[in-house]
Amino acid sequence: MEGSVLVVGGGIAGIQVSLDLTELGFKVYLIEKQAYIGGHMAQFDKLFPANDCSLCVLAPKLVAIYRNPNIDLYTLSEVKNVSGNAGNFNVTIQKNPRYVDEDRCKGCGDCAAKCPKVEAPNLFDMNLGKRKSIYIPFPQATPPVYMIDPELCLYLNRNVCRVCEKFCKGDAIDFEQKPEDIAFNVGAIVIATGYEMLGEELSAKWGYQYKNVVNALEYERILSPTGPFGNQILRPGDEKEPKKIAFIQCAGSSYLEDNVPYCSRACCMYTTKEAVLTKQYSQESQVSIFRHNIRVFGKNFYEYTKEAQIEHGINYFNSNINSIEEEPETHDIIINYDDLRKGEQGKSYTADLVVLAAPLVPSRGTKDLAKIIDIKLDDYGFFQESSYFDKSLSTKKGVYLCGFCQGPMVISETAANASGVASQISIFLNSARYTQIVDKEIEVKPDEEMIKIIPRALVVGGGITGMTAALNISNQGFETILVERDEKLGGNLNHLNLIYPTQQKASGFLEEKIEELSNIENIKVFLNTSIEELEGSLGNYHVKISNHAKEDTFEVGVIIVATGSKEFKPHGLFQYDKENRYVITQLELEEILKAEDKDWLNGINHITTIMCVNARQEGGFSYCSNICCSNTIKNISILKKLKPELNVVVLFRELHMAKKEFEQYVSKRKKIANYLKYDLANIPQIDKVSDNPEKYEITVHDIVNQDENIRFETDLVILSTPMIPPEDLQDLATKLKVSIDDNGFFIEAHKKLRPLDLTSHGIFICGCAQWPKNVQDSILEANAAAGRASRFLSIKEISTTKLEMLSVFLSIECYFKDMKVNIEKCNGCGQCAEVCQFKAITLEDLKQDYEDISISTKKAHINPAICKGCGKCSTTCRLKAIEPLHYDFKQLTSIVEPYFHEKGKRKEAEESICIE
Amino acid sequence: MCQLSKVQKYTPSKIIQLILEGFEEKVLDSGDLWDCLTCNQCLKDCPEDINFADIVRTARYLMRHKDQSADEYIAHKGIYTTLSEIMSRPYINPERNMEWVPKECKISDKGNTLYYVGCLPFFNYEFEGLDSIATSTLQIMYKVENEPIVVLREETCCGHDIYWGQGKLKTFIKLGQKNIEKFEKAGVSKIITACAECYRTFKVDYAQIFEEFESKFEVKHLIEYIYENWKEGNIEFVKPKKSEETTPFTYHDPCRLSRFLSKENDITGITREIFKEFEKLGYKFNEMKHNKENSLCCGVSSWMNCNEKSKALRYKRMLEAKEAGTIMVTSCPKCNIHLSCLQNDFEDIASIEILDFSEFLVNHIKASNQSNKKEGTN
Repeated sequence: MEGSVLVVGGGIAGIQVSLDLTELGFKVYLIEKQAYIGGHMAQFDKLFPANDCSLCVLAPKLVAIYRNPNIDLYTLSEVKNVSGNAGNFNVTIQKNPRYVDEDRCKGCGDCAAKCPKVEAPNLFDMNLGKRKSIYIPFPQATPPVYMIDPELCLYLNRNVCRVCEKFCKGDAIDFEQKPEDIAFNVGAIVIATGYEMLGEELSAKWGYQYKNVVNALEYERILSPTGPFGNQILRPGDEKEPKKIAFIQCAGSSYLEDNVPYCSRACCMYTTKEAVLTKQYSQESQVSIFRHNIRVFGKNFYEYTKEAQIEHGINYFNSNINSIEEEPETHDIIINYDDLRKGEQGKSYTADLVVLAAPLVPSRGTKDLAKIIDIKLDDYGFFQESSYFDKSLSTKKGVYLCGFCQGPMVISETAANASGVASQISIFLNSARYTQIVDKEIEVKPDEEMIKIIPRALVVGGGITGMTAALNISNQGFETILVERDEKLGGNLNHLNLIYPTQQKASGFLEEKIEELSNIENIKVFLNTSIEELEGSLGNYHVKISNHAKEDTFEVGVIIVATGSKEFKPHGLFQYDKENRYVITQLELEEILKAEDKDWLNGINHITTIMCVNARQEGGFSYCSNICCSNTIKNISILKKLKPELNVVVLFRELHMAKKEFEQYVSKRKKIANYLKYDLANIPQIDKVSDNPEKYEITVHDIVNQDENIRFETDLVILSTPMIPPEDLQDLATKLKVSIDDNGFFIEAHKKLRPLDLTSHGIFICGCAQWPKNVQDSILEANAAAGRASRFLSIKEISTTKLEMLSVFLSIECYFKDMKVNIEKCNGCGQCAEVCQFKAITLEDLKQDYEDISISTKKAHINPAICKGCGKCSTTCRLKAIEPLHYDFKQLTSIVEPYFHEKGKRKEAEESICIE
Repeated sequence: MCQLSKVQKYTPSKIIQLILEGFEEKVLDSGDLWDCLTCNQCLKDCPEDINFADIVRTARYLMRHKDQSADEYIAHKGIYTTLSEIMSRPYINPERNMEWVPKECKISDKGNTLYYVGCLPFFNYEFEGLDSIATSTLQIMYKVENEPIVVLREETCCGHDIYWGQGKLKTFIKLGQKNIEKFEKAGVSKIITACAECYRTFKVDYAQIFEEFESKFEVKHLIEYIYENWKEGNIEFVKPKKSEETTPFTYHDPCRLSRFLSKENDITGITREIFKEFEKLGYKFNEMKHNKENSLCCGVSSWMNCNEKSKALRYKRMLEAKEAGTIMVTSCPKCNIHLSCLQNDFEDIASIEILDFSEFLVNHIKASNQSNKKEGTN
């Protein structure tokens, strides 16, 4: 068994899995086809939803990879051959020549300045920007080393020049480099090859052939201040500022017959983000989004699109694109479309610049790689997962899939997925952990404080998520305490009937899990139990649990929160009432379907399902619950199988499903039911027409067909209601010292890159505690959170520096994190300790020696494991003795100074009238 | 030698040299002059009589005008200097607490002799027992005076701290004008104070800044007042309780009553003369190692720089006091505050009783028979 792992692909998936693996005690060989790591994320301008700079968030991770002694980074490299078996693969990679010595190049750029070759398009800027034939793709490229383009270089092609060689002070130019084979052995392989965005491959209908039509990735570069047009938004055709910018969603994807047959999942949100950014950068611009389907399934996605429309004035057209043409003289773009909202055909809209949300497809070389490693691809060309419930397993043992190469995923899912993959490899290679690691710790100073980590985990919540997390951690060899409030394990799975698309019985699946759990010794399960007290910090949490009869206390190092969510019962809405037995929720339907007795269906001929009940609306729940659409479609198909002659009507607003596993159900949905689309202006009416048997009359205004109100009678009404967090979550959140958002779900440390970390060190969330999700995603996150947690469990103790490093490299709010006491300035007044709500500050004695006297003084000391970097102490300290690390008052003052400049001037003038 | 230099790198002579050589701006920009204790030990030692504290005060004025913030040097979140600042506003006349006035003492808002109380009633909610200084002083004065003593309910701050600590000249002048206006309105000609800072401020600074102040008002510290009355035979020192024990005590000379006064002013001398008399009353007066003009600083001046260095200085002073006696008398309420405050942090010096001059004397003073005090009023 080898204690090392090969990671193929240096995008965010590969980066995260590499970093997590090294922290879990494994050596990593990270190989990347491009000359730099970072993948597409390095190309993005800003990230949804906080609009933080993508590269700024990513760069610390790039540096962490580059400097990590346990990661061997090979850029410009590809996998050539793989043999052997899980636990011991023999890998050969081919490293292509860079013609610049990576160790000698200092990245000064003298070579590029002198290179006489006319500038060529830069691929990193999606061929919009320019570069020389010796170049660095972008200033922050990692490794920070120049490279020579063998196709452009004068010397390599015509044997003249060598100017760069003359000017290179570091003697780094090496024209003798040849492709080189490197072989090594690894225990496991992670594939994280990501995606590509289509452009030229799109059919002529989408107009990509015109200069002023760009795809979204190109537009990210246009938006970026480091992009080809600097801090201006210009259109590529004539480099003029576009006034009218149109975004076209689903350009060549999903529902359209001639194109990519699946939903790319990320486009709805990045289109909205790009539109909002455009509007922010140039306020006069008119921004429109032409959409067909919209799938805003994730956490706060729906709210973001609403905000874009209300606050930023972005127009959404519910439309069907017929064709895109160029106006020959002005080179403006004409979009011919049908307005589906108003039912108007053959309309046209002229825009200065059109941005296509083009489909995301598996990256080039995916098929070759599949052949080399001998694993299967699915129908869409993504790598095939071996189990629906664990999508990181490939069809070959020891080979794992991570990120977009397995199926469409957004960044936060990818980051979670990466941690999950790392944890599963950690289980698989457990016996070889730490065998090939060079340096376990990142440099410990002699006088450094070490935080002991108790190798035991607490999992709160015994649903499928909590059970999976507990299993994962205990399989890595750590003791786990699983606390469940109910009398049995399983959570929502106890109520479910079948799990789609595997069509497996939920009860059977659950029994298997519980069986697996009960066979493992180092998991202690506590039922009917709640958390009474919780104190401490990373590594040393003291937990008191109680099950009414008796109490128990434990010391644990980390905590995983898997508190789940529950179905909302819509009392008083749509005739949902105790009296009305034939108006039920989806979960109630599942319970009925579970029962053997199906006689109740005999009297029922017409079923109506109403979706988004009290969801995505003011006065109700503002968000989309992600899982209701697929649940509805699943239950309809089950009902139709039981009784094919059933009439089913679905009243929906929008279908927000974007998973490759469900595409076929989505495309077939209209064959088994009638879909009527309503909107919030015309909410369907339900009236009870008879009591025995119960019958209801539905009145609905279908906006697709623009008909008058449709009326029909139905025998059974099924309501799809939102998933909501459990009631007393705030109490737990207070104990954990973390926050929950307006919707009642936990707030992550960073939405994109730390989706499972909470702001307290050593506490993680997964599953529906973060956001409603289905079984597959819950399991993925459970493994991921277990992985994040076991990073701490496996090192047994952590130095404060390392903890700081974790904060610096792996967190986003690093610039605000970690307050430092200036011992010189501190006078031990204790004000900081008083205001610190996390109790991170204590006063400690320090002996001070002066010329003729020595006294003992008190000094504030901040425990970095508890400190959240909120800065309250810093603002309280009158002596300015506490400053945030990496972000001092000088920097802050410079930022706010211009704002107060005028005020300051006035004050100065006032004071100068002093009598002298 | 600079007292601050014992706990941090500080060389007044070097600063003076820089200023003389034309690097004034550099000195101001460095902000070093915020650190000075303004104890003027250097003046005592200076062969050229350079008044460093005056330079520091002026420099602080200039430094503030260079947009330097003094915030991090000011202790107690600047509450006390803020109070002075508020009092300097034209229409603000805070009424102070008068509960400390003993019942038997008659006070008036018009008359010849004023007891200038100073900030004591304002400190009361942060530091305990300061009222007793004012009470004792009034009780002592009551034993001497025929007429009711003038105590102003709406007394204004003398401005010492804001003037020395932060160099706020404008505020200081406003406070001075307000004070003089009030003194004139009350018709006083004699001002008695028990505070070393108020005394120095009236005696020297007001006299310099305001014309005719010196000619209009006679300013006396309680020590002088007692001394003169004793010498004139109006009062005598008595022993209230009969006891054979001898209590050793010492005296802490505040800088404002020693190094800060003109050479003719011999408060240090008359204080000792009074204490010598006390040896008859069961006390033993011991000098501390550093005394009179060489007295050590109490560590904090004008609510500036209360930090561990200041604590070290104070601790040093308290150790000297411990060696000399069980009671430490001082005639500056601020020294009293700073040194008592340290007793909370250090147990080994907590036993020393720190008393104000007035508190120490109040029970030992009796109007003598030849005094016509009681005859007039009864």
